[in-house]
Parts: sequence; structure tokens; C-alpha cells
Amino acid sequence: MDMIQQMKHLKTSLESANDGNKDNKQQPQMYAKNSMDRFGDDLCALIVSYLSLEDRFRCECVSKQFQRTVFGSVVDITLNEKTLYKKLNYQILTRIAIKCPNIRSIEMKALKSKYSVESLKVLDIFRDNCRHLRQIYYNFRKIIGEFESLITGINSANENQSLDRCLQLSRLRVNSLSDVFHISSADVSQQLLAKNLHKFSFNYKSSDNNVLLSAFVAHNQSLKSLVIVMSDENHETLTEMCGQLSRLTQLRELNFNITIMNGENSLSDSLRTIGLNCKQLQRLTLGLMTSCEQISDQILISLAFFSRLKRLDLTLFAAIDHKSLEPLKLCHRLTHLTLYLHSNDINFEQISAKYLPRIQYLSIISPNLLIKNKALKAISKLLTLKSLLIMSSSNSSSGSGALSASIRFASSFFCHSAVMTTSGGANSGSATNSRFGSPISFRANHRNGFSKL
Amino acid sequence: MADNADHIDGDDNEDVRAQQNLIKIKLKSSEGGIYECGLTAAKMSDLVKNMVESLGTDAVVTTEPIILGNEAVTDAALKKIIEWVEFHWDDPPVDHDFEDEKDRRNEELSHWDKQFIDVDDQALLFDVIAAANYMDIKGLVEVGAKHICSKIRGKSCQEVREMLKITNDFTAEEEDAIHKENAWIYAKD
Repeated sequence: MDMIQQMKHLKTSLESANDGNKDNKQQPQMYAKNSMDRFGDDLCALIVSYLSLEDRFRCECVSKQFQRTVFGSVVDITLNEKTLYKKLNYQILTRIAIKCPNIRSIEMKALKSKYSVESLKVLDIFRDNCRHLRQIYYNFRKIIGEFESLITGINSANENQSLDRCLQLSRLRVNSLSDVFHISSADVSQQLLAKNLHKFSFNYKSSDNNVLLSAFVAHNQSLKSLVIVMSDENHETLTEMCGQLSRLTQLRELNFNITIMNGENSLSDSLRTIGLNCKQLQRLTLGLMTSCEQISDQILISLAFFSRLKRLDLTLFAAIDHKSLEPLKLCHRLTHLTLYLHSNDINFEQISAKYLPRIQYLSIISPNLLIKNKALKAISKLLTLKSLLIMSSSNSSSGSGALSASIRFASSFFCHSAVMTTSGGANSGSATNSRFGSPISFRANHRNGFSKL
Repeated sequence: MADNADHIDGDDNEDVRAQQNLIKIKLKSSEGGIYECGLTAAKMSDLVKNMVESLGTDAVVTTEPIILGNEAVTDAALKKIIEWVEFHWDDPPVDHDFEDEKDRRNEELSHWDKQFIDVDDQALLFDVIAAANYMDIKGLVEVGAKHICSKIRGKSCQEVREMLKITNDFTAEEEDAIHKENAWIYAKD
């Protein structure tokens, strides 16, 4: 919507700036119906706004209309090592910046810190030519200097001296919580360097005591998205940490990856505290590395306190009891559900239109699980489903046959677990994300289910 | 936000929309053809929505056809457009918490939309896009734009011109100069 408004303004400004340009709209008869020449500048600009940056430059000399319209809608640019140092130089970047004056946001988060000097020069170029530049997603903090006021995101940081001068900072990823504190050993005081963030990601380490977390939470009540990776903390630390997190009442998204070896944990109580207090929470990603069935079952029980969730992504490494998914029945609002399970006997009675009336995306990944015909039939009745991904060991032709028969799939979408690499702990967050891009995901119309595929 | 967290949001609204779509209105193409369309579906067009709302009562809306005067709104284009809105009127609303503008723009078209927009007759395709633009159906213009851009992807200027029947109004010198300026695109990775 925004883009269209923007286009319209752009068109007006282009017209006034280019007096004497033919206005296609005035004389539509002049152009063949099958020629794109018939479109006015505003519609042409709207269409080419979906091109990649390279395609835009490649198309610049298609026609004068393309030249006029192809760059105005470039609002963000991503610079990584490949584009920046193998293909581009300062001269080319300057030309890009001049041609795309509406760039608002630059993403450089994948750039290595050895390029910090060059990246400053690059930022200079874009700041001088793009008046609307107001977001920079950066990878390192060294000598940000004059750009501090434009930095909105930092991807990883080792030096934190200037963090508190980035007043616009809203997204931050750090290695450990202590990275956002200036800790003076002389007087044992700590100064918090990042406040009022929207997105935050960190690895919880035992050295980060809960005093730091408490100070962080107190000054970051605005937090909407949080990613935590932690391993084997004792019961008290975990309980206290979750208690602190439950004060983040604006939280929309929580990604919690935890490794637990010791069964003496009350993770379900801790999660319940979060579920009860963080009422805005809509998206939960839970990755649990444990071989202990009890803990997995406990976690699932606590889901009953997250009934407002729209998106749930659950990764469990322990085998779970076939009834453990019961609490899912209470999560009626789910639109996206991903289950990564290591169990061989689960009945999926929770996966039905009755309990999941809004489900659009369903993904079940379970290396050892044989998904039964009954479950497949239930899935085929989820008429709201747009996208389905099932990976399991099941190569039972009768199984997939049942599903494809009832939903008329042209191709099979079962996958043998052998091709899938499993990962956990610190990496399970990204593994979870990458699965989304799996080639065997199918889209169907949300309303007519799969019958129209 | 906090308030609607306690009831399942939008259920009532969905029922109203479904009810309203049972009301059929008439749309008249620039060629004179009159076609029926569900009210909720037709209101995906901001132009039609505004016209219907300014007309007021349902009685007028269902008897008198709404005239779509733009020449791109041919019979064939209007039939395609009605097919699209009748399929999409009950799409779930955009979830602003998770889907930002950028992601939506980069998202691939659904299987159904791809088949819908892959029209052999380019004059009809352009009619549908221009008519959707005139009728202010943003979702459909986006489908058309993504389709055209997917066809442009990776092609040379000349190939793009041939495919989309675009007149080259640059002189050879001008074209050469632009090519030189943009030579970096062709550099090997």
C-alpha cells in the first residue's frame, strides 16, 4: 500500500521535473494493446518495482520510460562481501546511490569487521546521495563515528564503547549479555549501554548473572522479539531468568533454545510464568535439547498457557508420549505450526480443523515417525492450509497414497529422514528457519484447500 | 491490541463478509458486457468500493450495473478480474506483526495466482493489469507486476523489449553510454 502511494508521489514529481515527456495516458490509442508502452509512468514504475537491483540496472536502457521509472522504488540495499568487494567499487556505488536517491535502509550485517574502514566510506557515499537514509544494519561497532545516529541494527559486537551513542538502535545481537554492559571493575558498577530495543538476541551464560538481566529488562520494556540460547543451567537460574523475562509484557516473539541434561528442572513452571504474563506473545519457538522425556512432556503441558499463540515452532529431541501433544488443542489461533519430533508413536488427533481452525502453514518433521493414514486424512481436511511440509521416515506408499488421494496432489511430498541433517542447541534456531525454505513445501489455496491444486 | 487478545479476533467480521458476498452486484465493462460479482469480492476494488458506498442502499447496488469506463476493462479482462476477486475475497488479512512490506514483496506468487496470471495473450494480460490498476485492486496489480518481473529476470534489454513490445527510444550512443555505466552487472562473480 505504502509503495503505491509513494509511486503516485513519484509520478507527480517526475512529471513536473520532466516537462515535455509524452504522457501515455493521454493518447492510449497510439500504442498497441500488447505493448507495455501503453502503460503510464506510474503503472510502469509499480510493475518494475518488483525487480532485483541488478535487473533494474540491466533494464535501464530498455526505454526512456524504464530509465525514468526503474530506480525510484529502490528503498533498501543489501551489501555483502560478494557485491561490495568483488563486483563494485566506490565509483559504481556512487552511481548506484545517485540513481537510487530514495534508499532508506542499508543492510551490511553480513560484512566482516576487517572491512570496517571501507564500509565507512560506503556509508559516506549513500548518506551524501540518499536524503532519506535512516536505517543502517551494521555488523560491527568499531569506528561508527558520525553514523551512530543512523545505526538501527547491529548484528554482532565485540567492542561496546560506542553502543550507548547509537540512539536509534532497535535490533541487536550479542554474544553474551555482559556485552551490553560497561562493567567497571574498579567500583563493581555496571552501566547498561542498550536501552529501548525492539529485537534482541543473546546467549545466556552462567557469567551473566540475573542482576544484569534484571537491569536489561527494566530498561527494555519495549522489547518485541527475543532470542535466547542457553545450556544446562541449574533450576534456580532458569526459574529466575524466566521470572525476569515475564516482565517483558510487550514481547511478541520469543525464541528459546535450551539444552538440559539434568532432569531436576521446573521448566514448565518457568514457561508458565512467561505464558501468563507476556500476553502479547504470538510467536513461540522452542528448541529443547534433552533426552529426558519428562522435561519434554512438561514443556508441552505449559503450552496450555500460551493459547494466544499464532505461530508455534517446536523442536523436541526426546521421545514423547503419544498423548503429550494434547495441550495443542488449546491453541486455537495458530496459523503456523512446525513440529520437529523424535518420536515414533504420536497420534495427531490435535491436528484437525476442529482444534486448528486457522492453520495456514503446517510442517511435521520426524525422522522415525510413521504417520498413519488416519492422521493424513485429518490433515487433508484442513481447508485453511496454504502450505504443507512433511518429512518422515514413512515411505509407506499406502500412507502417502491416502493423502494424495484425498487432496489430489500431483507429486509426493514425503521425504526420507536420511537426507535431513539434524542440529540442535545453539544452531537449532537457524536450522528451524532454513527448513522453511525447503523445496518440498506446497502451497494450496487457503480457502479451497488442496482440492484446487 | 491488548483488548482483542481476549476473543478470537475477526470471526464476526468474517461472517458478515461471507453474508455480503452472497449479494450479487453487476459490473459493466467498457465494451458493454454485464457480469455478476459477489459484493465482498467486488469491494476488493477500491474504485467499486467507493462507488458502492456512495450509492448507499443495497437495492440500487444490485439492480443498476456499475460502469467501468476505462478502455482496459474489456469483457475478457473483467471476466478474469472477477475470477480473481471471487477467489481471493476471503484471504486472511495481512498479519502486520510478522509480515513486513519487504517480505511480502519478495514472496513468490501462489500456485493458483501463477496459473491465473500466466496468460498467453499479452494484450489481455496488459488489459487485466491496467484494468486492475484503474479499479484499484492492489493485490491483483501486484500479481501482474510479479509475473512480468519474473519474466524480465536475467534478460537483456533487447530481449525485454521484444518480449514486452517496448519501443527503444534511445539513440545508439545513449544506449551505449548506459551500457558502459552499468557494465558491472555483467562482471563475473
